[in-house]
Amino acid sequence: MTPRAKNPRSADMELKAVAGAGHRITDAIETVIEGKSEAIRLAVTVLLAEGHLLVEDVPGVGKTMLAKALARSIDCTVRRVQFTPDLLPSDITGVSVYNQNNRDFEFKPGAIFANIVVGDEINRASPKTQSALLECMEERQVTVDGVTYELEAPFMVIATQNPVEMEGTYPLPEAQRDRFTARIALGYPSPDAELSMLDSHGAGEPLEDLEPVSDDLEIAKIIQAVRTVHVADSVRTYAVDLVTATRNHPDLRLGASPRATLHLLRAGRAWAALEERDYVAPDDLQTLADAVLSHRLLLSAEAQIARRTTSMVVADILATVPVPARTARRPA
Amino acid sequence: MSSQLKLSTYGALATMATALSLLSVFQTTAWVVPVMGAVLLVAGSCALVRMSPLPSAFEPITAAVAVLLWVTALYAHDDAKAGIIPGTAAFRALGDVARTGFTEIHKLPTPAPPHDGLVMLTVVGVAAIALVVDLMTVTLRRAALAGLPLLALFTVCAATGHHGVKLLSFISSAVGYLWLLYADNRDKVTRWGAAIGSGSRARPASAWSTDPSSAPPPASLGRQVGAAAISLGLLVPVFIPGLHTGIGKRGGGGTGTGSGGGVVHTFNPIARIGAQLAASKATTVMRYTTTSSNPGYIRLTSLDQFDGTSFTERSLTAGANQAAGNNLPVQAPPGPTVQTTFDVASNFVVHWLPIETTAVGVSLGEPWRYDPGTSTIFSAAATTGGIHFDERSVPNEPSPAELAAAPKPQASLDADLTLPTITPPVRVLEREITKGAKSRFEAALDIQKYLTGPDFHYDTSVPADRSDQALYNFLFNNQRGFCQQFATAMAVLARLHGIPSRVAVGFTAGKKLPGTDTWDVTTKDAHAWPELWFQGYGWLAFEPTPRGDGQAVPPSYAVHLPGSGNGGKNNNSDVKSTLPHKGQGATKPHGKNKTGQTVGAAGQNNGGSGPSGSLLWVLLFLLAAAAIVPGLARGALRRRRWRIATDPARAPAVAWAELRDTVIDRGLTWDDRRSPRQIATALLYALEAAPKTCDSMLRLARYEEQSRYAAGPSKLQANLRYDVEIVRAAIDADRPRLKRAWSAILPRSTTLRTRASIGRTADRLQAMRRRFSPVAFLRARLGVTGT
Repeated sequence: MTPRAKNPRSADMELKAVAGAGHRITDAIETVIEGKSEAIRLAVTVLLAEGHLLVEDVPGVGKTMLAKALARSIDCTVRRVQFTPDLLPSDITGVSVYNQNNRDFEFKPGAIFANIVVGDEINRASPKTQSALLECMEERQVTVDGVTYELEAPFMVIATQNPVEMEGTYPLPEAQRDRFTARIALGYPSPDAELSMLDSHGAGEPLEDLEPVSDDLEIAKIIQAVRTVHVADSVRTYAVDLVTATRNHPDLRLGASPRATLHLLRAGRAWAALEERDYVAPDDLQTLADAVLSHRLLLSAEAQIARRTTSMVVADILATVPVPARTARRPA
Repeated sequence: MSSQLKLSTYGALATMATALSLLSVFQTTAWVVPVMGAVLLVAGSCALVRMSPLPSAFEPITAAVAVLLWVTALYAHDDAKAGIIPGTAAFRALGDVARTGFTEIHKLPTPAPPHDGLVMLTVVGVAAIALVVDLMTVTLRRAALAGLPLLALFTVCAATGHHGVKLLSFISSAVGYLWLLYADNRDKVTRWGAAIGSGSRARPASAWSTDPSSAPPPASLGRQVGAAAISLGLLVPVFIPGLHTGIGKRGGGGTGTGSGGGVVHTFNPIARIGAQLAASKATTVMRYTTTSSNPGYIRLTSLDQFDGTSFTERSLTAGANQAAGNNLPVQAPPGPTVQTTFDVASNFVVHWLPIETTAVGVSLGEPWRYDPGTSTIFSAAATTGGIHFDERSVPNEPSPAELAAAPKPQASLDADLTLPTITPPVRVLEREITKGAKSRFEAALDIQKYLTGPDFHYDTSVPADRSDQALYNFLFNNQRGFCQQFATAMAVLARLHGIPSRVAVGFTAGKKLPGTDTWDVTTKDAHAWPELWFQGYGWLAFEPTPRGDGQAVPPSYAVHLPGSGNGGKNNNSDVKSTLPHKGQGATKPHGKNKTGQTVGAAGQNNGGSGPSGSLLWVLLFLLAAAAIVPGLARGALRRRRWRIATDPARAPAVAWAELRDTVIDRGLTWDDRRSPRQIATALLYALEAAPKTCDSMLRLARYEEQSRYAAGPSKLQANLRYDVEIVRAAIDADRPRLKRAWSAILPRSTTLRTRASIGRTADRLQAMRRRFSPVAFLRARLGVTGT
């Protein structure tokens, strides 16, 4: 069981701070991206859950804008990598070059050495290059020439990819997808939001005007506070039940991994903290399940023919797995 | 397993509902407890076998044993070990009862009295049908086929019942069967894992959809098909020529008076008396002025043919030389003559001339003629309407001593001694009543005394009993009636004793108009009385009717003086104490012989409420109690919860549980598989609730969520009881008063909880069955693992 803050009063205050910071960041991003508060909230949740975010949608809906806005709203180091077919792994991780003055190899850090790394069009890079992210994303370290370099904390990869354009793209391998805590889609804006976007983006560049509303230190503190959010045993069991159901579902040939369970709970904690709650409710997991689970699942051939999607399967599972009831004492 | 138990229950209920058709086969409801008890026993024993490790083949055997024990307990209790385990003697007794039953099936018309034999055969028959229904429904899973045995039971009742089967019985049978079908199909559908029904019909544990408008198509379609089929079944016979015996129409048979659809009205003097006595308004039928200070009864005619049910008149015959006149061919006793002048009302139109029983002459001649056999002056052409005539009579009042010494009646009166087959109990009763009588006259007085005793009650509201058992029922079962029953009983008992008798029909003396010699006779004075023949003194009237209004006065010779003759010591309690009782009858070796049992029952049967009747009342009381138990239990649970809710640690749980039951009681959907927040949202959506209700509901949900998933005690402050009440009021606001009352009487949450606990018990039994089954035992012994 996660240890709770000893002083509930200070825990409350921390939660208030978490929620406040979360709202600040959300509001800041919303000045750039109109009418997508749910997606933005999910993105912030992933940040606070120490996870990585995959933004997948059709071109032009603001994927990169979201990634950049999130990065800019926090005063921390940000690197942007445009994933192209000729991108090399060393461009990401860094490279050791021989320094003639020192007569030694000197490590030149790659794009990954930042608090927030925005990987644009990640599926345009070759699998070799994509694989360079594996160690960074999971272990938050880079090993080059046998030397391991720790990455900065907080560390978050925000990748975007385009699902429609298949020409010249390399679909993310399962292992890579599994490392993303959540996948979100922005979707087209509503007509009102689009009109308002025309106003704001027509006059200037809102992204340029975006001032950071938080910094890496605050984020690190918030992440610490999120870790203290209580997850009841019954809710853990519920998370495991949900993930187990994906492994037994007839429409799936690959279910979610144990890492998915972990990510689900972490995201649940962050979501609860953003709601100023010191415990995770099954509703949190239900809200996050689609974003956290569906990109890790592989449909069976029959389900693909039947035009099912992984989101549909997750919805099925949510509908069939009962939420945990009270177990401690039977009500009268 | 629980579904089997449920189906078994529905099967038993369907059989019981169909068995209600027996209401038109039996006169009383004394059969209800034995028959319904047998049905429950069959269902219960079959269910027990299913829960036990025994194979299904044991179901009929166990059911048969249960029914045998039940029948033994009911009908051979005294001969059985411990009252229910039958031995040789008990089997013999049961055989006797069954034989009596078979005999009575052929003899008795419906509605039949609930004699032991008949009821026992009914119990066995209905139990067999219940068994077949149970096997078809539960073991074979063919609930539709169970309609055949139910139909057989219904058809037997419809074919043999008095006027067929009543509409209510048809409805109960149909509802029982349809319910069984519904339960069976519902069970089949739930086996697929889908819930059937929505909204108020949905089961909260399985309905996922919160949209009340999403009625599943199969359920609504099924309802429509069922309604259409029943409507067709009821309507088609009405429109098909020749099929005019559908439910709702009475068959033409049964009354026996119809021929070719027309009704022939026959004047039955006895029937007319009943009608006149029961009429609320008294109408004057005649007035007479007499010189006698104590006039006797006025007779119209007398009935001397007993057909086993009642006395009827034989055809009156009188030749042209038998015209009525001043000197009737009667043997006048010595004494002064009494002159009487009759004025008959114009609306009293009959063919018999009202005359005193002791008339010796009238002032009328042709077309009135005198039939000496029945002492009747009648006319085929004239009627009594508005007639005025004088009559001469000589009072006939011999002394008791003279009558006691009267010789044996002459052989020519044998017709007035003729009786059809009289049931043995009546003969035994007659012997017991008259056993101390030294003469025919004393016997007559004893019979009169017995009938006017405290056991018999004058009651003009008794319906006409036209069955063969009318006399038997009067003497032994209900002991209520008016002059017709009393006069018939006395006449029959007198004939049994060898005294020629007949029933005279007419009027009592009526009421004397103050200050005059005129007497007023109204319809209320209509009367029947027995006349007994005493050789040398002619037909003498007796009065066994305890009328209580002073109108029915026994003649002076028939007044039972204490110490006179033998009557003083032969009172009713003596008769009862000496009647053969159950188990001590001298006529047959087994205690439950028909005579002993029925006469014994007559001794106990005061006022017509026997042990079966009281059992029925107990059953009704238990049913009524059972009906209010769910509501009371729900109220008690609610109070207990709010007591517990004073403990803050337990308050959220009990408040949520109370809210859940409140919602379920009102027929709304509650899905336990959803989170508190989702349940609250769905409910608010369904209620279209006001902001105040929303606040309360969400507060309750939040509280519940915290208590379930948060680490420490809740920091929220809320009056949970108040919030639950707010939600309850919001739900009740739009519901009709009747529905609210219904959910208070029969709360759905209580029935669901009971059902669930039965299911859990059944599951536990099933688990035990698996554990202790022979296969498991062998596996354990042999050390076999796996499947």
